[in-house]
Amino acid sequence: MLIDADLGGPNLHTFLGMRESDVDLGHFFTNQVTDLRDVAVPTPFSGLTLVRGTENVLFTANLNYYKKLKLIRHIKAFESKRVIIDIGTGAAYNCIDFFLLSNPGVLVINPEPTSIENAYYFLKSCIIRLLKMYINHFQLQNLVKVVSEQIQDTSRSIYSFLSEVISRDRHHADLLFRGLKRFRPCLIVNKARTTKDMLLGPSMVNVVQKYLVIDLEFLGSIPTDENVSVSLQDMTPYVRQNPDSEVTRAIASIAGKLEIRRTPAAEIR
Amino acid sequence: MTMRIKKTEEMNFYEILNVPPSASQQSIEQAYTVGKNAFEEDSLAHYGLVNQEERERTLRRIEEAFKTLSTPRKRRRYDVKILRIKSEADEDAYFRTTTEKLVIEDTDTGSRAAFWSRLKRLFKS
Repeated sequence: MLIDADLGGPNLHTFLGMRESDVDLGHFFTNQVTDLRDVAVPTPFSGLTLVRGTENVLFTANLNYYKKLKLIRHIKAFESKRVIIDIGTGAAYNCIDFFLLSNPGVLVINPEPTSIENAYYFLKSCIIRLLKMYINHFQLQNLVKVVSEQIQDTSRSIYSFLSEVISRDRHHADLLFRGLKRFRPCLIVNKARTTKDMLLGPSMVNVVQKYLVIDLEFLGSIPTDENVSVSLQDMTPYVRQNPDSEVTRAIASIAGKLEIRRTPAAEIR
Repeated sequence: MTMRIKKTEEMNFYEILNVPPSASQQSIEQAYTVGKNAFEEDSLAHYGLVNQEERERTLRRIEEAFKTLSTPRKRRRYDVKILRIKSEADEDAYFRTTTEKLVIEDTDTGSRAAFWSRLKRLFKS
């Protein structure tokens, strides 16, 4: 099942060649449909259903906390083992929480400074959010202030933040650190052109391990291909039109790695 | 398990290359190539996360680590050195909060006495 949780700009249906639909996430959020499964519509592809994003983006892009929790609760209750959630860009709480809910969360970047910078901002935000969740869960009141300061002071590194947590409460810092180690996001480098672009993924894994104290798993690079744009204009999935291309092989290899990857999901509260 | 958060300058050569101490020469070379690519000036991998000074320092550490670990004689000497440092660091593990716990002889005497008492019991039965 695909869920288009890019709440500010849903367009997954376009990639699948689907135009109108009677139901979408908007119906679910406004309680016109009570069960998320009833919003899932069949796609032209066997075995694949889609929960469409709503056209009323002004409403969903600023989704309130309770509606987000409702969506998360319904997603977690799905019997389907394979749910793919497409989230938007940026480090809004909605994006971060859907990312943390996923097992694994997959970051897709382009080999460009802007994209890499955003990826690091996003990962840092996820780490702080995750720590905040654990702190709330274990009711570590003495650490709440440290986290609030970190959220306000973006110039501080994760290292200095964790060091401060350790100095204040070593026992619980150990607990938080173990929780953090369970967060193992994945990385895909899209639109790779040069050898240097191909080396970017492993290099970022190396940098993240040293500076963000988490393990990032590199799934692979997808080479750039002008035909992607052609497929989009035809509103047909690229892999259907180009089953033997390098891009399709790269995607198949990444899908294979995801299939065998199993780690405990982060708990969303 | 104790918590282990280290700055890059506090990491040993294996940690800086992100390989286990049992790593083969080939793994060390591969790790060096990846590390060097990551922290070179024109690499995008550190963009937005690592400042210039940190990047240069980390790259120097990677070069230093490779020079040592890629030469068997130097590596052997380094291994002996880090094993010693590690045992000293363990003495300072953070959970050791009082000096009383360092009185190992008392513990040994206690365990030795318990051992003999168990042995006596065994022979009696």
